[in-house]
Amino acid sequence: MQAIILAAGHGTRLWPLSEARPKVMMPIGNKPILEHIVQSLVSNGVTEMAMVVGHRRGMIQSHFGDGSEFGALISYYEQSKPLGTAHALLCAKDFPRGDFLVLPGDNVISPEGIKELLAAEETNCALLARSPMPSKYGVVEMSDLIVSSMDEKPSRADTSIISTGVYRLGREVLKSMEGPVSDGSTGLTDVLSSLLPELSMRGIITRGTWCDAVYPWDVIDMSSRFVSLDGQSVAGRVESGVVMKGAVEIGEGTRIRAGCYIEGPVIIGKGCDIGPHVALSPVSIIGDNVSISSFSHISGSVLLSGSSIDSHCHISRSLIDSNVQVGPHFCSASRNAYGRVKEDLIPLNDIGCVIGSNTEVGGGVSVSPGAVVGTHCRLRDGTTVRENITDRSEVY
Amino acid sequence: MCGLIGYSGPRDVSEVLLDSLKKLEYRGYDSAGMATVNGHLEVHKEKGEISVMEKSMPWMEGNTGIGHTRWATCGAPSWKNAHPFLSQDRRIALVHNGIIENHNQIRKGLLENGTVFDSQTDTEVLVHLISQYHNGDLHAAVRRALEDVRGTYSIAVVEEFSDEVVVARKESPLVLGLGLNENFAASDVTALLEYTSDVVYMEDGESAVISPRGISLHGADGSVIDRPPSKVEWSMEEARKGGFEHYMLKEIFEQPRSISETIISYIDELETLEILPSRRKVDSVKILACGTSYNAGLVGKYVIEELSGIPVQVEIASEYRYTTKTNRCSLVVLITQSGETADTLAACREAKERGSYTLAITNVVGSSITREADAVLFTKAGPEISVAATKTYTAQLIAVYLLGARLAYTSRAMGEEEMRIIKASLRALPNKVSEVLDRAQSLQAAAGIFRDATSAFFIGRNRNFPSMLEGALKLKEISYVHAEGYAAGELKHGPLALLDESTPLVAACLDDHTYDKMVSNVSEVAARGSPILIIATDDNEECETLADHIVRVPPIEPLFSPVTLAVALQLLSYYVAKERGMPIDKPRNLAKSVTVE
Repeated sequence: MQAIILAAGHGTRLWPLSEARPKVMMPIGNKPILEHIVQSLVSNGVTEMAMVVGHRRGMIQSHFGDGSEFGALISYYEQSKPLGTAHALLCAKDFPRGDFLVLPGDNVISPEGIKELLAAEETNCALLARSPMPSKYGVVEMSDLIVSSMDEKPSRADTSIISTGVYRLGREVLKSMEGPVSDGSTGLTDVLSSLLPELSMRGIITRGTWCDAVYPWDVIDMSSRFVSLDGQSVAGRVESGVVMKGAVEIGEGTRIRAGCYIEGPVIIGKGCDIGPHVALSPVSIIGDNVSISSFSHISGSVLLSGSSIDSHCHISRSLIDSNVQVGPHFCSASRNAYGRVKEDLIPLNDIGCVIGSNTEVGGGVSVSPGAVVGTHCRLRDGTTVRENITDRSEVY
Repeated sequence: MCGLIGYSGPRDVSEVLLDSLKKLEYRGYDSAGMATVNGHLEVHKEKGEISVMEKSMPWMEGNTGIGHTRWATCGAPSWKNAHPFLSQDRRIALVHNGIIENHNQIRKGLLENGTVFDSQTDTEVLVHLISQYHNGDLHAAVRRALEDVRGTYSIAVVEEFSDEVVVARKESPLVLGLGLNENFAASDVTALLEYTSDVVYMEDGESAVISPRGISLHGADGSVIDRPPSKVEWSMEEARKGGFEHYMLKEIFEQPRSISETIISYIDELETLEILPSRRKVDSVKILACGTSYNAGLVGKYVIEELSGIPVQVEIASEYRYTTKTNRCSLVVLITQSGETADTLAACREAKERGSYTLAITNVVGSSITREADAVLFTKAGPEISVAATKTYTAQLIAVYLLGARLAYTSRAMGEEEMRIIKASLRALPNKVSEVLDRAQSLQAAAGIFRDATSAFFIGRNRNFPSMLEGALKLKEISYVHAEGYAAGELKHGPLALLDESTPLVAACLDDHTYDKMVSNVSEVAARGSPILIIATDDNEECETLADHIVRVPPIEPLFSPVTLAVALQLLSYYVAKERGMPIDKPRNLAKSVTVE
């Protein structure tokens, strides 16, 4: 079986995280979402895959190369304009020789889901899941085991069953898709939905884990869900007087200075400088080349590569994107709060803040729970941020 | 990274191995070797590129064999450390890619049993271990031995009087190729494409036995796995380039990673790194290099002087050799990507003769310069295929930043706090470079102004001046456009006479203390009607009125702007060459490593 991964999307809903990378390259547990997908496929013996890439394709291709480092054989197809997922799939229409899998490159899927699709007897299958907010997705209705309708982002949903966007399809489906796509249909769900009568598509509700980062806060929870560590693996240098409990992974070239207290699960990347006297609480993910100075406490948070955290900072249930410079005494406490995305208010449990890449956070800054700070911002010393801040803002 | 290959079938095995190894050469090329089964085992290996091994290869008969090309990450390249390794009784030969973490512990056990070791490599431990468990069934012995091993590996093993090759992998790439009465194993698919397009990918913990009769694939517990082959339908060149049109573009995009790797390997122990003379105080530095490395040296001058206040001289290695003997310099730094550049090697000897302490900055572990110099700082860029240096140049820049910080720390020009700040800035560099790469399209658009140019000028000041020299060199190398890099202030001392409407000017107007001067230099040229391309930071508005084209780079501490600027200029020359239809990866008359004087 071959697989086609749609990796050309921008993922703008994930702002500000989408500024620094395409959504498919968003690290979850220090590994891009796309790499999780490739691993799930490879572990099911699906090694031959095509990635449909678009803008920022370089970042994807330089990570995966020809795929051999990941046990796969990867070829690339370009979608030069963002014309939707159905069009993206047709960009790779020459790739499949027979039945194939289609996967959105920006959702994490566990190996079990792939296995369920491979085990099915029907040619055309849709992998389904239950979601607490079905109207964000393609809502699916079934009669017997066959999908009877798929409705993309309806205003009201009568069921919690949604399409994960992962399908198994016969090669001839690509031919049938050409008509609707040239008529202007863009979404894969829409196009397949219009073809349902002729497809007789089996719906499989997955027992495996599937998740999508719709909003930036989702990345924090996804990171903890997909961290599977056992025991401690230390490649860097840990000075004496460091306490490590539970599952901890420390990358090469990293130094953990004396007096640090690390309570796993915690992943620390390569080339970091942590401590002295830094506390890391579960589940925290620290990317490569991050430095954290003394007396800071990081709890349940994700810090991406190249960021530096000065002393006496408190960062709880927050996401700090790459190359953020945080001054001393920064406070990002967590509680139940609302996050704002455009006009919508989203209730969030126990949440801190999100800070976009390349932002400079001054000393003594405090950001309220649920607030999102854009990229390249400057928050001057002592300021308090209570709401979302757009990219390149300056806060006095 | 290393490459390995295994074959069993009707062909002359030495030809197959040689041919496939050449295709794997991009994975490493500091030593190579092969073992063939002609009744007994025959082994041939050589330090150096595969062509060296090919030249000295004796007549090797047989239809079953294994081959290896190595890129040393620890343990110098030498005949002794080259693969394959033989068991003590010369009945088993093995090649290996990866690292055996617990090799010291296993070695201890084997020594007690009386095994004699030829080398210090982890690989040799593996072959002796397999030999110890060998009880008539090689595959069983390999599986048993791997149970004792911790680490990463892909291996291929042969034994005498057998046409079987046993392979296994864990976290290191390995793929099987299926032919008609012949079968293959290789580190990647590119080595096989000439022979077959039916491949089976192996997964972690699996092993396989390859013979002319077929392939049997086994799980970690020995159970037989039935995995249908996949079909590869692309050309070899495409495969190796990972979807990029040229190696040069691929390598440009690899820079966030190569920069990060170079930083990671030294940053933790930077304060105590043993790269300086231990007894003497360094009061002057001389940097010797050729070509692109010379440009990295020029950046080094500004960086080291700025950080440490120690005066730095930069000389072209081939010139330094023939100068009169001046007083010794307390630290001489040699920069050479390959470690084999003839002039730089000779300059190294000359510097030692003059009584200087020598430090080499190179990308190749175990290359000649690493034996000549007193100390070595390695760039971790990995093998570079494109003749035009890109990722190795920026890795060299990182090396000079590291050296500058180390010198400044030792000479107390910089304290703990400054060191911490420099380190934080270095750590942020990989993402800064990613940001530049994200803007490749704007450079592609700017390349248009060179479409019909026969000549171009690159100007900059201070630490950005050498970057412009490098920018001009890149353009010359791959697009054959005559280009000159100039210190902006020198323009009116002659070259201004050459500027007209058909001579594009590229100017770096970045935010530092030379910005105002740069703007006035560009204005002078604008008056002559030359097409102007300005490289400026994101929020700069002034330059928009001056330039025909403006390319934005992310704001960065001025000290580190040569890195982001270099990446922008690499992309520029790449797109110019592409637009003009040049053979980007292999420019005429040029070779990757210059080993003649």
